[in-house]
This record gives sequence, structure tokens and C-alpha cells, in this order.
Amino acid sequence: MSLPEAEIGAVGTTGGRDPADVAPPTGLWKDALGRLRRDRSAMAGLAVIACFAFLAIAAPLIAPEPPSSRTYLERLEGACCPGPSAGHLFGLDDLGRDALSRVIYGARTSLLISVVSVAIGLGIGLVLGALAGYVGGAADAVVMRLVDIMLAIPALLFAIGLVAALGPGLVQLMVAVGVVNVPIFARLLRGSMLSVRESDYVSAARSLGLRPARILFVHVLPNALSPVIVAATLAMATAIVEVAGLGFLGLGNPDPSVPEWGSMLANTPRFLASAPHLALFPGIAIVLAVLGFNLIGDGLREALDPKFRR
Amino acid sequence: MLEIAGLEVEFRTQRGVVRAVDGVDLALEVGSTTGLVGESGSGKSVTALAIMGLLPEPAARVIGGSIRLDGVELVGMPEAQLRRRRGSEVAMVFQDPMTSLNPVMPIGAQIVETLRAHLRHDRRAARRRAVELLDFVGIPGPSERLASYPHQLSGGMRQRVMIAIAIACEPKLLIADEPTTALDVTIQAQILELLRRTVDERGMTLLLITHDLGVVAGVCDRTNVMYAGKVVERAPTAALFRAPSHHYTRGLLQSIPRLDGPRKTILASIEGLPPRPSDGLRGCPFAPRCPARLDDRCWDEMPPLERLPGATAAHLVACWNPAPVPDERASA
Repeated sequence: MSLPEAEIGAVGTTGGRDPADVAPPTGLWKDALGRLRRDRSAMAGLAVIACFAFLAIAAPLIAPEPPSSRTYLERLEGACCPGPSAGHLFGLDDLGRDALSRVIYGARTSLLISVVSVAIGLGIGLVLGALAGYVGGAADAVVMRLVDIMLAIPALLFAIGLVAALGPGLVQLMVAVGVVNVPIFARLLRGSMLSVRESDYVSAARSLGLRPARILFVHVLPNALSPVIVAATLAMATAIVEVAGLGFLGLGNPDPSVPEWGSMLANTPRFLASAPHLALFPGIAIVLAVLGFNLIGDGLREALDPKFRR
Repeated sequence: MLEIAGLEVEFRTQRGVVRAVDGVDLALEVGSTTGLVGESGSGKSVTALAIMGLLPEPAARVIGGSIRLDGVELVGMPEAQLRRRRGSEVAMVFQDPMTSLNPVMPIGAQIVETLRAHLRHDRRAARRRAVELLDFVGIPGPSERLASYPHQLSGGMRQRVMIAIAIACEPKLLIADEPTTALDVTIQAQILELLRRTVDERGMTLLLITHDLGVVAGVCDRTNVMYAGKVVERAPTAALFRAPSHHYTRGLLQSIPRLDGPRKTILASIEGLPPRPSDGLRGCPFAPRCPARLDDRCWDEMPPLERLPGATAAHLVACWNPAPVPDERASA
């Protein structure tokens, strides 16, 4: 995404004080942003994610209690667990911790996991996809068979296997969820690179004697990235659900002092009859975050679609 | 300056080997404008790609002949050397300006990129040169336009930008492959005029590839008519239009609608279809459709490209039974 911007900068800055430089450049990305801004549901999704991001960053200022404070253990009085009240809006959990605080702190872990795992998947997936799509030949065959093998394993099973192999831990969790996305990103990028590689402007670039590396990074990749960006946004939603799923299976974040929505849900079945609020609030947080990422992803898909380009 | 001799290009397809260019000879003089005319599949674009060294390998390859640019053999030249020549010595204008510019890059950056690929310009000099080039090709307000993206320009403007990019490094040879096919008729005339002016003012040599004889008539000094991978007629453009002697050329000219004829006449067409390159004909490839074929010879033996009897030395035709040159005095 940064390449076209860099080119705008290059043209804009070389000219010094030429008044022409103020001509408004509206490229593919700026165009897409403009369309995205007019897309109400995408903006709603962005607002939801922005709220969660704010909660995550400002958690210590907003949350009424530290996430693992057990100050209210005595209030449990054997009966689990007090529901929402004026003092504890989301109630207390089985260890006497303030559930609201834990949901707020949980946004940190859950968002971090989704962003980092998608970044890991994107990093590996883009390299593999570019290798297959641009180099072609034997590299393409090897990479795509690897991808086929990875796709043949169900995503959650694959992640479980990876966590089991790597051992418990937050980082391992991110790697596991990220690697599951690798074949999807690789396949998407390869496909769109294959079509961009045959486009007239790439032929034109070749006919001008540009270096192969320049053609790849300036002409092919920026034009091939948009479907991958959409998929990455949607993958953030999936990552949150997958982490919740792994948490539910006991393979989530092993550190109980670091709250995470999936693990919070995982603890609840025992108390579901007596304390449904413990499942409700982390569940709502997961649904909202997933909905937010999905709305942004769908909006991006439309904004970047060439059919809508003028 | 460009000499092509006996060029043969083969495509390997699922249905076997197809010879797309079959023994083409072509000589371009410095500063000349040469037309290469033919229908789809006649091999004209493949010839251009072969000159550029941009054949879609490994499916297509040059299997014979030579392409010399200022005496330097291009066939078999290593890719790195070919790449340095592309853009700086030979450049190409493509058919569809709507898809030939990178949509995510401002046009100024695309010109600067080409300049910096071949010349040691710093950014400031490259930008200044880009403004000159846009001005030369007739883009109003060139310095404002540097930051424009392709989708903000009309088709005609984009083709002007394509020409600006192609001539950025002052190539000696400019190849224009159907440069006006995707444009409105009024814009076509402007682009052709621009090409003409570019070649005249900058001393370039132009190879214009088109299926449109009208385009050739307006721009080219000399015209080559291609059919089924072969040049079947070559002449100074005026002579070709005055006395088309290959029956394929005659058919093409007769199928152009005339402004001065009755309006309701049905346009003449050439019966039949061109041979598929995989048919493997022995004789003249036009024989199956030719109104004047001779029964044995045309089927069995490919006629050589030779001087047309009764015409100037520059008028060559590959036909056993060419149409006679009309008597100048009778037609005048």
C-alpha cells in the first residue's frame, strides 16, 4: 500500500515550489478510501474496532479494577457468582474478579493476537504467493503443492496441532493462528499476480526495459494486493474466533493473569446455569469485534473492486 | 537501420507447432515510416514482439532468420543486453491506452521511471524532462498533469502519455502496434498526426502495425502487406494504393467503404477464411481464396517476393498471377 504513496511523494517533492504540485492526486487507494468513507456499514465497523482499540490501549485508565484483582473473593460467599450490579456492571467471576475489567483488558490480548497472527500469516503468505506467482515454473509447483497440503488440513485441527507441537504460550498461539492463514493468502496473491503479470501495463513496462525487480515491486505487487488486503481484514475476525476456539479447548493463553476473551468463555460452562453473565459479556465482545472486522472487510472489498472505479 | 531477414517464429501449442511468422524480410531506412498491414493472426504483432525480444517464451521462439538493429544482431542476444536496448533504442506504443498504463501510479512517475531506467537523470532533471515530453505530445498544463492518475485522463490523452513514455529516451526505432484501434475516429486522426510529427521532428524511424489501410495511407511512406506470416506485397504507399497487384491487397482495398459511391451498395468481402497456421499449405497461402489463382502452380509452390512487372523497382509482390499495373495515361 505504501508504494503508490511513495510515488506521489516522489513527484510532489522533486518539483520544489511549482504550483502544479498542489493538483489533487487521487490514486487507486485514495479513491478507495473515499468510497470507503461513504460506506456507512464499513464506517460502523471501523467505529466498533476503533472503540475496542481505544479500550485496549486505555485499559488501565478505564477498567475499574486490575484484571487479576481478587479483592471481592469474600463476596462470593460460597455461591458463584454474583451477577451484574451497580458496583460490578458485568458481575464477578468464580474467583471474585471484576468481569467488566477483564473484558476490557481482554480486548488487549484478543486484538493483539488477531493483528499479530494475521501479520505473521500475511508475511509468510505474501512471500510464498509472490514466489509462486512471479517466478513461476518449479517454484510455483513446489509452493502450490505445499499450500494444497496445508489447505487439506481443517484450519482448527491444524492450529491445534501447531499449538500442541509448539507448546503453550501467547506467541505460539499467534504463530499457530497465523500459519493457518498462510495458504489462503499465498493462493490469493498468486492468482491475482498471474492475471496482473499478463496485463498490458506490465508488457508496456517490459517493453521500456525496466528491471525485473522494479516491475515486480512497482507494477505487479501494488496492483495484485487488493484482494489480499480484503482477505487479511476478514482473517482478523476469523483469528479472534479461532483463538476463542483454542481457548475453549484449553489450548488458549495459559497465563490466567492475562485475560483473553476466548479463555474467559472457556471457563464458563461449569457456571452457565448459575452465572450466564460470565459467558454473555466476553461472547458479546467477540461477536462485536468479529462483526466490526467483517464490515470493514466487506466495505474494502467493494471499495477496491475495479468495477466501481471510474 | 533495422534489417530483418528470413525471420521465422514458431509457437508451440497443444495442437502442435504453429509458424506465426514465416520468412519475413523487412528493411527500414533511418527516418522512414513503414506500415505493416494484415488481419488478425497474420503475424504482424508477433514480428513486432520479436524485434522487441518480448516473445512469450518458452511457448514462442525465433527459429530462424536475423533481426539487426544498426548492424547489431538482436536474435539470440542475452536478455540483460536486450533489456538495456528496450526503451532506449527501440520502444513500443501498445494498442489499448486504457490498460497500458499502471493504474496505481501517477503518469509523471511512469515517465520519470523510464527516464531513470536508461539515462542518468537526477529526479529534478527527469521531472523537467517529463514536463517537456507531456508538452510535446500535446497534453495541456503538463506540469499539473504529472500527478494525474491514468483514470483521470481520456483515452486519447492516455495514448499521448504512452507516446511520451515511449519516446522519453529518444529511441531510434518506434514501433506502434495498432496505436489507434481502441480510439474514436476523431482522436485516431490526432494520434496519427502526433506520431507523424514525433517521427519527423525527432528523426525517429517508425514501424506502424495496423489492420487499417486508411491509417497506413495517412502516415506511411512504404507499406508491407502480410498474410499468413508472410509479406505478400511491398510498395511505396502511393503505388500500392494506385496499383494493388496482390489479390489479397486488392480484396482489402475493395472492402473499404467509399464516400463517393452509392450508399446502399453491399461492401465487397474476401470469400473464405485465412488458412490456419497449422494447415501446412505448400503453395501460396492465399490460393484457396484467390480469384485469380492458377490451377497447379499456386497450390504447389510459394511465389517469391519479386519486382512487379511493369512497376517501379520498389514495388514487390509475391504472386504467380499478379494484377497488372494500370496504364498511367489511360487512368489520367
